[in-house]
Amino acid sequence: MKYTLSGRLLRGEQSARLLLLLLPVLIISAAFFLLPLARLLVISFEGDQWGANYWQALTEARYLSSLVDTLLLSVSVTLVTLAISVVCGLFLARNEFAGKSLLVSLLTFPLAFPGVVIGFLVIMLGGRQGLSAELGLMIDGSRWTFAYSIAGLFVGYVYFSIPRVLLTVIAAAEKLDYQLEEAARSFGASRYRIFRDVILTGLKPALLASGAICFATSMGAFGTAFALATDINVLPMTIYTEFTLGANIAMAAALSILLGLITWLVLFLARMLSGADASPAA
Amino acid sequence: MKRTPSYYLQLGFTLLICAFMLVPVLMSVTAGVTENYFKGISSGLTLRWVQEVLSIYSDTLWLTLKLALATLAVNLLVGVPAAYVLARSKSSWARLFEEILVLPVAIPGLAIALALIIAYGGVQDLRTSWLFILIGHVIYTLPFMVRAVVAVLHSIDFRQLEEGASSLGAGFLRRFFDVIVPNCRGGIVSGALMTLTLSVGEFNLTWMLHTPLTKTLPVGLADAYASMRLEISSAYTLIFLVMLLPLLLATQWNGHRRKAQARPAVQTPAPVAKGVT
Amino acid sequence: MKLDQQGVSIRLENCSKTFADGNRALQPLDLEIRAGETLVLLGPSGCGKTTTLRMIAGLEFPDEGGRILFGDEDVTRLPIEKRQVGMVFQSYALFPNMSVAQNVAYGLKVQKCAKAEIRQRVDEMLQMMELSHLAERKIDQLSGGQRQRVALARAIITNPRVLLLDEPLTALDAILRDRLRADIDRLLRSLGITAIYVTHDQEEAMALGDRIVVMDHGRVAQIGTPKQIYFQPQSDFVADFIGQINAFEGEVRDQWMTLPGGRLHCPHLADGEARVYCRPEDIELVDSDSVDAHLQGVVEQTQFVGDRNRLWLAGIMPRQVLVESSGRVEFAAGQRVGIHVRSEKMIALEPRELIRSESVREVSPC
Repeated sequence: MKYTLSGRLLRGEQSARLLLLLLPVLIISAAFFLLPLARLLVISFEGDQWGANYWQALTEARYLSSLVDTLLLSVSVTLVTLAISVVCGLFLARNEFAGKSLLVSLLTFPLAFPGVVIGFLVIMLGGRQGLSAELGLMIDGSRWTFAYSIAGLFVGYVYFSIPRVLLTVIAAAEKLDYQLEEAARSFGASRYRIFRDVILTGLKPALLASGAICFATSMGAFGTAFALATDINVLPMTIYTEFTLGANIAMAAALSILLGLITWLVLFLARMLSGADASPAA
Repeated sequence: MKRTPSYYLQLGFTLLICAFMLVPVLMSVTAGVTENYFKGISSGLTLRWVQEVLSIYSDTLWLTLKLALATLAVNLLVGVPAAYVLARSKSSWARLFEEILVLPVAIPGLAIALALIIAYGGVQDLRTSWLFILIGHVIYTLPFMVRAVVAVLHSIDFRQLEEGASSLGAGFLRRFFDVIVPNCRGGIVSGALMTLTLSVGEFNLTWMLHTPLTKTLPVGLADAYASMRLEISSAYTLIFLVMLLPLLLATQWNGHRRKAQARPAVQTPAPVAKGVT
Repeated sequence: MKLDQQGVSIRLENCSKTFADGNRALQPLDLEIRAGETLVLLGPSGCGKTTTLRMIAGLEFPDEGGRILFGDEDVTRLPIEKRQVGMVFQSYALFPNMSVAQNVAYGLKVQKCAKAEIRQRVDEMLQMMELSHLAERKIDQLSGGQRQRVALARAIITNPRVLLLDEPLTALDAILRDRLRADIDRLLRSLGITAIYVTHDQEEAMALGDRIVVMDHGRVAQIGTPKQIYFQPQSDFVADFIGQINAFEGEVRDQWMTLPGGRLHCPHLADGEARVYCRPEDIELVDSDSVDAHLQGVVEQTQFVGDRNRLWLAGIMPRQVLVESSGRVEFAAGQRVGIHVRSEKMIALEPRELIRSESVREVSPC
């Protein structure tokens, strides 16, 4: 009875074909991502005592301060970027005027700039020969510089984050249901209440998702700090230093795992809370 | 339409932010073609710095291009079929694998690079080859390609399109190339542009993975920023921007095109400004 | 256009379908479809009609032991691309990346027909379906009705052995649906092709089918011509699913059934508990004091729908009774009326079917 098996055979044939199509990605992912990550995890536990590296990372002043500084920096960058993007995004989504699409293009074209280049742009703004230095010379005769301090990093990260957060906010603002606002008005709600209860609530999923991405990229950003070449110890710089100068691979691995856990967790939580897709897709 | 003071306040703020985004880029571009930036534009315009960069760093340009194209090729070859399988499969194994596949997006590049070095840094032939960087770029960009295609596949009823094609006698390969691929072209183009853009500008991974003989453009930039005079750094940045420009334009064009396509045939009345906020 | 499509007969033997989640969508089914006939699979959603169609198409495969034959050929294990069927999908499944002409040509292209032949046959087909002026259009520039015609053209151009239509009119509005139903009817008759048509719309089923298979919960409830299905339903489910119907139930003694609103003459029924059905248009309205007014009720609600009045009467059965009368007679709510039901217009079911009284649909205005 050949034919009785037909359904199963065909289905089996189909699954085999699908598996074959997936196989290359499976191999790449297993060999060059999962395996290395596992090795990283194993190495992060090497040392005198089990978990000593993690203990050290969370207790020793230089690691802890690096972690806390990076967290604070990333949180403030996220909040400021969200505020700027909500104002600009709502304005751009709700008004039509000549040159609007050009304005949107100009605001979002630095989307593709890598961190190093943004570091250089910050030097252009706040470095020793930068715009603010010229301004300072004109006003009080001293060169105002901020590029090489934590302020430089802050400006750079905000610059880096504005395009992607702004795009998400514009897209979400365009999808807001105007009838909700009109309904709120019919109840006599004030502008402030409408903004808080209707608009911000409507934007919340987008803000959560893009805010999480902004936070995660700020935590892991390396290029800007590198280009500014300061002694600011953001976590990625600390990891880099441990690895190259200190040759403390186990410590670098432990810090990397910590950093990866934090960024992954924040993105995961945002995805759970917003129901939207939180990933740094442009 | 009545323009309220609040409208002008918002416009002013938006323009200010636009200036913040634009001014440093313009300054950098100017510096790259100025004889002596310290003295200002009055010292004259020149392509000297650009030429100098080209003579010092031209190999980084080629390597960057080569890497970007190779990354794209790998992503197209393995990413598009994988996206098809993931969009089609309902099994929880497929969901789990999708999560693993996009994980590199949620983990800082530095950590991934470190993991790669720990696992394969001992293999000298690989460590010193440009292929090592290629691996990093593929791991980092593949999720974007796969997700772009999966998103499009979820937005069209590709199963029914495929059933339609098979009812007309088309076997699997025909269906894949006649129906699936053309109808997720938008997603493939987005994914491809994203791959190229990310690969060309990738620094976090590449800095860790590169060797003196395998320097990419962003790595060269970091080098120049640290050791060269401002005009050379600027000229180098200018070259990078020129390389990026077609990708940015294509991305914007693609975005507009897809937005226009996504719009329903019957246009809903566009929401007009209400001056709220 | 050459109309040389001679459909095959199709036989399903012992075909059941259990999905991977263990859900049995179709109980073992035997079904014979004659060459050239249009068979409609009718039923509510989840009744197994689409599963049956997809098994005939080769998009699903029957559980072990099932057999599908096209003529004398066993196609049970052939996937759809090897079965030479034409299929029209509910959402048409037209290829958005191709023009109208390319869509219609696709099947021939896959068959590797010569270019000149393809061009000629596509031209003829487009002309026949009145699509010639749209040949170069993209699918998203077409209206729903045009898409539907393209889908049909694409499905029949390859001279399939059987044409399968999966609720092809569901996505359209009511007026268009009526018109296209007539078009499809004409087309199927002129092609003489074997066609299997799935729908949940009983009017559509009756208008198109040579025979109708009414399905319920993965089983065949009844197979028959539209008239048999309408006038001689074999189960409560079929009686109730096709058209609107009134149910009368009560104690029968000496050929009379006693109801709250009077008596019903049932000469064909034996004594005991019984139920009979009657279509609204088969009930006669008579003056309440007439001798024929065996049953009396009060008009509770009226609805004038042009050619007729729809009246909902209370007091005859615990549930309202729906009656249709000429549109020219006036009725007012609260009016007392008598009704008369001729025994030959009553539909009585086999006693075993009377157990399932729960499936009777509420007849009420809506």
